[in-house]
Amino acid sequence: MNEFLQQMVNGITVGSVYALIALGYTMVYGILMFINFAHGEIYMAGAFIGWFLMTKLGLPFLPSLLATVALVSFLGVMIEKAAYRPLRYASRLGPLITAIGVSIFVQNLAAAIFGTDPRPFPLPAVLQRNVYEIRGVIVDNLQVYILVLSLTIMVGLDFYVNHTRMGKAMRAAKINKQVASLMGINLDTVISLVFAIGSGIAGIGGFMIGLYYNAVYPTMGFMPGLVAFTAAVLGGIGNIRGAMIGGMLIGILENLGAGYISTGFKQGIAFFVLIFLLLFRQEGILGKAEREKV
Amino acid sequence: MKKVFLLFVFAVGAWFALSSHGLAGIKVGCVLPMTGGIAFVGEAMHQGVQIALDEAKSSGGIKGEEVIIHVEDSKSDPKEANSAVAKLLEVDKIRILLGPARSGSVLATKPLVEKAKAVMMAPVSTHPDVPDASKGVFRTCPSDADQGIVGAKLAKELGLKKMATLFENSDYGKGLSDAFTKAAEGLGLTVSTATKFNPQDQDFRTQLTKIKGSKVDGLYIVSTSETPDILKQANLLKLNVVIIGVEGSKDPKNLERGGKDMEGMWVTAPPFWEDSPDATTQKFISAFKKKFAGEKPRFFAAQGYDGMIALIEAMRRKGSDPMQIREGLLTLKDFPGATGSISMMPNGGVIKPFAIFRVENNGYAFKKFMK
Repeated sequence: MNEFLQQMVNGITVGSVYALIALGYTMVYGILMFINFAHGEIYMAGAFIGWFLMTKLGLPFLPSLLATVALVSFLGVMIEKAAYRPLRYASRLGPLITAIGVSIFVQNLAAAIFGTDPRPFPLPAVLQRNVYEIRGVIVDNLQVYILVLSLTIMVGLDFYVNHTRMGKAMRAAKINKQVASLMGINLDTVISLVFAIGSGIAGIGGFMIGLYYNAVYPTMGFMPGLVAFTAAVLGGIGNIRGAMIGGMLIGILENLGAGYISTGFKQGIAFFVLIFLLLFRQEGILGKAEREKV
Repeated sequence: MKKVFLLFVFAVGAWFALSSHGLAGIKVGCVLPMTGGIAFVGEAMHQGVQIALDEAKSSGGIKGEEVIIHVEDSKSDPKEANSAVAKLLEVDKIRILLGPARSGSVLATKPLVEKAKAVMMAPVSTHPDVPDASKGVFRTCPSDADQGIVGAKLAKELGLKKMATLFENSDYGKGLSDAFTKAAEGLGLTVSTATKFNPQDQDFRTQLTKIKGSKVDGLYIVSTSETPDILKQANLLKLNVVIIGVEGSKDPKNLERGGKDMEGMWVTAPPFWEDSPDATTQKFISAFKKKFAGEKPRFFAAQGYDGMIALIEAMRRKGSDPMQIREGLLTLKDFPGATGSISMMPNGGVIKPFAIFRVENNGYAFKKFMK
């Protein structure tokens, strides 16, 4: 029982970060209908920027976190402007392939600047690790912070999208881009905002994970990116609440599957879920089935 | 205008073609993981190789000829290593190869080497099936089969009875873990839990939780740059077991990142350490520090160096044709290397004594030799 609960704790922590990354995939897909495969690299950039600000420039934790969000959002918007905007009305395959190119570019750029070694990212004094043992299950304060921060961001985002003017504009653009722009919505602004928010959130995820594992390195975004993509599909791609549920579920499934079936399957579990979804429920948990119009 | 442009393109192309192929000298193709998961291994090996080349140059080359390296990236992936080797053999017509790093990559490229009648030196690939002199694949590092036995003997000496293993899900990890398990069981220990992780994983809590549940007193881990993460998470989960690691984890960068979490870990590795009394080791370390601005050489750099000096010595003894190099390598006997002396066995592998280290005061403290 202890082992089971411990695996759940492990899964929920990782899952909440998958959920943060999945939000970016799902928001971009919702409006632009393509998978931004460079999103995992944005997460990595968040970790590197945070690391640079804190260990190289010596900034305290909170200002670094805020500056990281700002810089990563800017990076996300710039990537959209440079790489995806020229292809907005191209066939759907164009931006997808471009995204893969951007991903390779950003990853290797980081390797060229910072080297390929994992860099230590020590915890600042305000976050000193405290380990609690509750009936044999071990939880540390950082896991709690990550969970609370993720849940706050998710609830905040959900509120923003459903209850503000810009949120309404996003939802309108999701339903129909042309009609939305006819109604006076500036599509460029909305899309930039989506990239800024999605990137900023992924950046926070990368920052926290860098601290959590005490490591930042150029390839760190690759696997979490792919797994979070699966999480977004599981929740129903384009659906923000779905991405949160999907992220948590994948994190838990991964840990339970690895713990009780075989540890060698850990990475495979997310993709098994993906294949299962593609075969039986393409729309995911919360998504709506769409009929292909001929 | 168009003609001028075409002429220009042609001239540039010709210049490139001449500059990479026109240089006189013996070309060695280095297939190294310069990007991807174990890029730090490739980088270190490349540094070690450069030291070996400098030395060869200052001692007159190979009968007056210079050794030139041509680096191809294996991207830390057996598939990519395969295409890199194919490119070196077929496009660049280079039949003397050094690398790749991962055992799985060497195993994947072996058929190409055999078919091309080339020679391959794999200085860091430790899987038991890597060396194959008849197919042209050699190495200067000892086999995992031997290291597994040393690990098991160490576990027995430390009084451990029930062990778990945690290994990288690759030919390297599996080979070493199997060798350890077999040897440990032969010595009367039980190995109750075998867990794996994928290269580049960051979270090992799942595996460690499982290991904790199995109530063992020792853990054998086969890992490289993941080591500090494993040790840190083991401490956070209050695992409290004796941890024995392998040569892949012996890296100053791991100590730097792992800090006090690494303390007390045991490591088995070929004999290479900072204040080793061995003259060749010290010569290598001082040459390295001189070339790379005081940087401390990593273990993989020393291994890369050993691979290259073995190739150079073989060329000096028998000639620089791949077949002659194969012969030359087989004549190496007690040839001094930076990670222990090299005596090539007929199968293309080497046997070396292992050194036992324990992490103390944030350094690898040498304890003793073990065979």
